[in-house]
Amino acid sequence: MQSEPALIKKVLFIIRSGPFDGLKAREAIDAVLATAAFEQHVTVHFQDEGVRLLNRDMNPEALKSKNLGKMIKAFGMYGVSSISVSTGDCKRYNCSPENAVTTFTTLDQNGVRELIANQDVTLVF
Amino acid sequence: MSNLFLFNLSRNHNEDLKTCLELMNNSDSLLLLENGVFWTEKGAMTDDIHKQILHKNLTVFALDEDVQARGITPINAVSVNLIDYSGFVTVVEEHRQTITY
Repeated sequence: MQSEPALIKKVLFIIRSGPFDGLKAREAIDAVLATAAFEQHVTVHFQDEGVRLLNRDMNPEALKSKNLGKMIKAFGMYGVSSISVSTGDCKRYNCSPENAVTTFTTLDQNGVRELIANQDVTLVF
Repeated sequence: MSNLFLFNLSRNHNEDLKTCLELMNNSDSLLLLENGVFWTEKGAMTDDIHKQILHKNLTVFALDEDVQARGITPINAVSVNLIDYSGFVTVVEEHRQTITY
């Protein structure tokens, strides 16, 4: 029997929830890793409070909670194809390549709209 | 084909609605549901929100069941299309992606 061709979709995750805003950010990161593990074409965009997740100085162990930054660091290993941050929010939350857990590109609002237009699925967390 | 954005947050979330609108492309649609229907009340939307909707030629829907449940009267300068649950299904079918903001 011939096997069916794998269905690969372009999936964009927009992460807007901050690291200590309930479990939303954690769920978003789990969903990113799971989707990437199924070899989908995954793109992640951080905006609003979500940008804080990239701060490499976070030490959530102080609260005995999981370090989400370490999980974001693993995005590359899972084959997440691109990571971006909203330009304005990057400034607002003092996010820079030097203090971020991963490399990223910046996108203005036009860029984000274009990004969304190119996806099969967009999920906002 | 345009995208449909679902927005369910109350009027306490002015900034959230603004950033949602910023992500929308021209001719996309916005469906207000749950506490999002409060945005259809008189005076709820600020001028800049109005302008964004008009400027981008967005279609605005509100879920009638949620409007009725909350006992509000949608009177807004932006014309709001009231749809019921089966209308909701049709609207979802008519768009490329459904994005829950």
